Parts: sequence; C-alpha cells; structure tokens
Amino acid sequence: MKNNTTLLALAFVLLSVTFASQYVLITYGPQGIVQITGAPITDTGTVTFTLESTGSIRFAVATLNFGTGKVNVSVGNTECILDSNGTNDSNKCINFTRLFGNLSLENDGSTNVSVQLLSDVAAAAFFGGNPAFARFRWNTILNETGSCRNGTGGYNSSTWNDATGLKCAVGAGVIGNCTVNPMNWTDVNTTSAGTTICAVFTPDAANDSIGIELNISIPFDAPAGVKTATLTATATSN
Amino acid sequence: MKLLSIVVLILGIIALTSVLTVYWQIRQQDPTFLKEEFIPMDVKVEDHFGFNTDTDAIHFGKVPPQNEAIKSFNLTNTYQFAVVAELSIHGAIAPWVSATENTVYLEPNMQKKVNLTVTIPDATPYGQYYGTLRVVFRRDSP
Repeated sequence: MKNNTTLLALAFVLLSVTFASQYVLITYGPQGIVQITGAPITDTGTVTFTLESTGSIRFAVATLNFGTGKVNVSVGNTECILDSNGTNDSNKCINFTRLFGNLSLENDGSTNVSVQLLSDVAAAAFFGGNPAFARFRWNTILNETGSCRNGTGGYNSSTWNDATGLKCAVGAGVIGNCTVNPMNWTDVNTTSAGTTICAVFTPDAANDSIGIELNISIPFDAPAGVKTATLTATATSN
Repeated sequence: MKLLSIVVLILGIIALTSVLTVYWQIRQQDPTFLKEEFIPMDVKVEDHFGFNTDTDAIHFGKVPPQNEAIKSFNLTNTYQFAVVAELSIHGAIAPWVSATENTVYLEPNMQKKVNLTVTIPDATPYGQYYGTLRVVFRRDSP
C-alpha cells in the first residue's frame, strides 16, 4: 500500500513538473531569452496583409493579331488601314489578316467597378515611319446592353441627361457617362492612368460585358519588323 | 492492477504532453517568427477577359493564354521594429505567378504595395486553376 502511494505521488510530481516546465516555456519562450540579453522588445504592433479591391489585365495585342503584310505602295498608297471590325482594303494592304472581334471584358466580381484603359505606346512609336500616316486608335462597345452605367444606375446613353426615359438623368451622385467611352475611333491614351472607358461596370451576369475594338494605320515607310503594343485595363471597385 | 493502470495512464499523459512540448519548441525555434498567412488564389483560363475585384481571395479573373493579369496587396508593419515578409507561391498556378518582390522589408510603421502577376502560358487548356500565397512575417534580425 505504501509503495502504491509512493508511485502515485511520483507520477503526480512528474506530471506537475512537466506542466510547470511547459508553462514556463510557453509563457516566456524564446523571447524571454532575448529579454535577458537586454535587447528591447516592443510587440505592441501588428503585421497585416490587405488585398486591394483592384485588378488589372494586360492584353498583348497579339490577341488581336493582324498577321504579316505590307502597304501596297505600288499604286501610290501612303497607308494601310486595318481594324478589328474587318476593315482590310486589299488595294492598300497586302497579306494582312482580316479580323472580326474585340477584346471582350467581363466583370466577374460582386461589385461595380470603374475601368481605365492605357496603352504602352502611341501610333508614331508603334509603327515608325511617317507619323502623318500612323494611327493607333481604340473604340469601346457594349457587348451586353446595360453593362456600363452611371452613378444612379442610368444606362444606354452617351449623354448625361437622356430625355428619352432611359433613366440616365442628371442628378446628385451621378458618376460619369451612361455608357462606355469613347464611342468612336479615338487615339489610344498613353498617359497614366489612362482613359476611363466605363465609370460603373456592373457585375450582373446578363449585363457584364464590354468590348475594346482596335484600328491601326500603317505608314507606307514603316520599318519592317514585329510591332507589338500592350494595353492594360484596370478595374477599381466603386 | 488498478494502480498500474493509473500509473500507465499518467505516464501516457506525460509522454503526450512532452511530445506536444517538443513540437511547440520546434515550431517556435525561430525567435523572429511573428505570424504567417495563407491566401487562396485562382485564375480562369478562357477565350476572353474578366475582372474580379472581390477581396476574399486573390482572384485574377479570366485570362486567355499568352496574356497577363495583375493583383495588388499591401503589407503593413505597425511594430516599432523592422519586419521581413517572405512570400512563396504554391499550387497549380505557382509557375505562372510572379511577385514584384519575394522578400519585402518593412521598416517600423511602414506600408508597402506588392504586385502579383499571372502569365498564362500558350496552349494552356481552358479551366480554373488554383494556388496559395504564403506570407511569413519575421522580425528583422540585425
């Protein structure tokens, strides 16, 4: 009976020592050792990770690839004009690919976003040659009706005050246009942060697609070589 | 016999707690360790583009092959000492994702922006791909 009591007491002591040692280690831990050396510890702070509510997409224009060709200078042409709507005049352009399509952008998130578009290069630097005949332009369209709205929900108008009853009325809180911008061929913007092509791009599944079309004019004397431009679209939550 | 069971039970508890103590010690061996975070990432490879600015994870959105998407985040240090954040990327999209910095040095009360870029290789099959960003914060050692 005495032996049993001794064993029980021994086990209890071992257990106590184990818990006590763990308590000391956990309470003071490695930092306790640092404190003993005199190094100052100030741990009344935090380190945080915060994801920004923005996103950018960088299109290599190779996504809209006009292929390989040249200006038909044999009949006195000064330029070859191509665009993503199929423009490709065979009298002016030789061998280039006729394109139909646009750079389609959707809002897959859960909030409205504004979208800005920027090019890394303008026409003259893009093609070289006579700048009078070099053009690099874009146009924006609604792939789905009502994808781009103003701050009060108005849509389907390029004007701020739509008298036709399309809910695109001037008022407090109106942000931007009631549709995409620009709505005609416009020189690309190379100045940061670019052009706001849609002030309120909705995430609604049936109304969340806009398109970017491209138009280029290649001067007759543009140096041969691969010409690549990069467009960057940046979305920021409203 | 009853006493023997009690002793075995107690010894078992001692062994278990000792193992846990050793594990904790190994985990805490680096006295500079502050904390770590795991942030899920995803990208959809499709034939058109899409944004997703939701902040519950790093959503790169829809990106066709040969194109890129960029997401940004901020690292903030409010300690009175310098902190180093070590970034590592894991999972299926890891080979496609790069950060502007993989080791970010943060002075006291400093915030720094980091960009993550996903570049979809040519001929990548359409579909959704996932990964994880791991950020380990450590006290900067002098």
